[in-house]
Amino acid sequence: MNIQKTRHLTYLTMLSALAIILNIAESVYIGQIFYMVRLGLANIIALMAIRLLGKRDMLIVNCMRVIIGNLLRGMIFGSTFWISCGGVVLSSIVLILLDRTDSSLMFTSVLSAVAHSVGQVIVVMMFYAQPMVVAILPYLLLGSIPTGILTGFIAERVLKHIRPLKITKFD
Amino acid sequence: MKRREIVIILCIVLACLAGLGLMRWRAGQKKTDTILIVYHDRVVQSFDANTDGLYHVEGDYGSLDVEVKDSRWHVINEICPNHTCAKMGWKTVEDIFPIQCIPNGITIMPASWMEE
Repeated sequence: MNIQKTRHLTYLTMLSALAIILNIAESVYIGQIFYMVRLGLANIIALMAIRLLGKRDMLIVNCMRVIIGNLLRGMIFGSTFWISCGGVVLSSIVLILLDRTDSSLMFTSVLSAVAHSVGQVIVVMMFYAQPMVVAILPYLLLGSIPTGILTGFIAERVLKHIRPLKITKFD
Repeated sequence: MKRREIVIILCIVLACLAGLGLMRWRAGQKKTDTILIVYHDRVVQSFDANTDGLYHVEGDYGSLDVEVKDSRWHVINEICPNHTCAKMGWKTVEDIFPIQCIPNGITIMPASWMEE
């Protein structure tokens, strides 16, 4: 049981670290690929976390990535942080809801990316009192679909090479 | 991906394209040369898109300048952590996206959008 616990904790910390690294690396080296649209590479780790460890651990990985990622970039509690929070909360809800169904990973990834954009726009509209940002939403959603397919594809490929944990008690 | 999932994704794509088309059509119908600089929900400055000039605005985080030249405008000298507003480049009355600086709470858009 202790070995299983250790393996679980190792998976969780490794995935959290990967999510933080991808989050920072993407913002530093890739940034916006085209006018506000980002690849969302850290979403690969969220997809892997929900499949390997379950919902609770996926939420931990997502929280870590937003809090520590923004902390390391010196943007904690700034506008970027709160907008990221909005996106992550909504995309996590979608991931949890779709985990209950028999949806494919690619579809889950696309809807999660779409939800992320919607969450970000909602935060800007409600908390930053900028309702005109809704004009960007169709464009952001169109950008979310190819990026969601890409992250879903990568997550699917990576998961094929990872041995799943046998215990699910922590979920 | 299953057929049902592809259909859902296609529906999202069609809805987005319809939304963008509608916005472009509305922008074409209500063309105006008056551009507004809005701080949160308050208009703080306005300018004519056909008159060259430089407009300074103070925001929540810092300030920014809006340069108007040859019936186009863009953001320069922005004091903000993201610089997305400056990266948005030049805009004209034909454009369907406003320039937004979220840390400063500033939106630059045609007057007809505000009416709507």
